[in-house]
Order: sequence, then structure tokens, then C-alpha cells
Amino acid sequence: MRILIAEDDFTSRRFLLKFLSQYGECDVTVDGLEALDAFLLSIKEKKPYDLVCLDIMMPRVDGVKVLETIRSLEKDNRLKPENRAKVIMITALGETEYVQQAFAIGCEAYAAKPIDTEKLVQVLAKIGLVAGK
Amino acid sequence: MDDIAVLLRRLAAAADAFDSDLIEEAAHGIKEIANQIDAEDLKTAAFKTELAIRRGNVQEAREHIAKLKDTFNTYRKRQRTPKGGKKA
Repeated sequence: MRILIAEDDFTSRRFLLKFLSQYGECDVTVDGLEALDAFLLSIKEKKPYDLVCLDIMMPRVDGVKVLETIRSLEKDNRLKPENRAKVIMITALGETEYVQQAFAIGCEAYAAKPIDTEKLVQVLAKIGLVAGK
Repeated sequence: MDDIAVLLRRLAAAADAFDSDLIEEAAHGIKEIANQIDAEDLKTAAFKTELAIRRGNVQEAREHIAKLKDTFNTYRKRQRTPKGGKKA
């Protein structure tokens, strides 16, 4: 599985990288613009991401805008719905409105900080990326 | 281009010293300059170096650094060769 992590906070980034590395190869980006660069590169090289974890509050381009652009790029490149990346929004307290926007655009799930790994595994199972227990 | 040459030397030294932070910093610098001058191949190789080193994969980062050097040398040659193909 190919995974893209977009998170500006160093500690959260390291945590997600360490945890998600057991499920596949992770690319780590530190802001929204880098995340879009990585996503564009994955489309160009026909190595799409299976999972994208997007922090909502990021410098340069926020997570919701990144999600919107990802879905638009997938549409422009005529990717079948089953081949589109599964997107999990990473949220902090008080970002309910952004989470609602993200679901309206087309994210699969959200995970609140601090990340609970058990819940994250449940989410991964629910969206069909890992086998459920 | 001279700035990229300096950063490439720094990148090579950082790779020799297995200094991940410096590799990331130098690769990031090259990516930013490449972006400003629309040097897409250079930007891609620099970005891939950054992604590999953040993943902790020094070997892969070294492969991208080698590609980065090749790409940079190609750009340099193109710059030095006037239109028409013959060297000045």
C-alpha cells in the first residue's frame, strides 16, 4: 500500500510515519503544497496513493483545499472511483466545520488528535485498507 | 544554477556523512530553486530525495541524488551549448 502523510507538526508527523509504515511505504510532506506536489507526482508516475492522511490546518494550502484538489485531479485523470485514494482527515479540537466540508467534498473518514492507534486501525479496516479483527 | 551547484556539493557531503537533516535541507533548497526556474526534472529528483530521506531510506536518497547530479549536468551542458548545437 502507498501512503501519503501531510502534516506540519513534527511530532504528529513522526508518529504517523512510524505507525503507518507497518502498512506500506509512506511519503511524508510538511505542508499542503508539498502534499499536492507528491500527489501530482504519483499520478504522473502512475503510482497512486492508496491512503492519504491530511492534516486540516497546514501552512500554504489547508487540508480541505488539498482534498478538493486531489478529488478534482482524480476526476480530470478519469480515475475510477475504486482506484481513488482513501482520504482520512486529521483534526484538532474545534475543527468540526472543516470536517463537515471535507465529508461534503469526499473524504472517507477523520481521526482526531491525539491519534488513538486502535481507533485508527478500526478506521483503516472500515474503509477497506486493512483486514478487520 | 550556481546556487544549485553549491547545494549539490552540500548534498553530496551530507550523503557521505549520512546526515539526514542536511540531506533534506539541501534537497529542499534545490527543489525551491528548481521550482523558480521551471526546471521540472531537477525539482522532481530533489523532491524524491526529500521524500526518501524523510522515510529514512538513505540508499534510495543516494540514488535520487545521483539522478539529480546527472540532471543538473545535462542542464549545465544545455546552457553552455548555443542554439544550433555546436559548442562555443
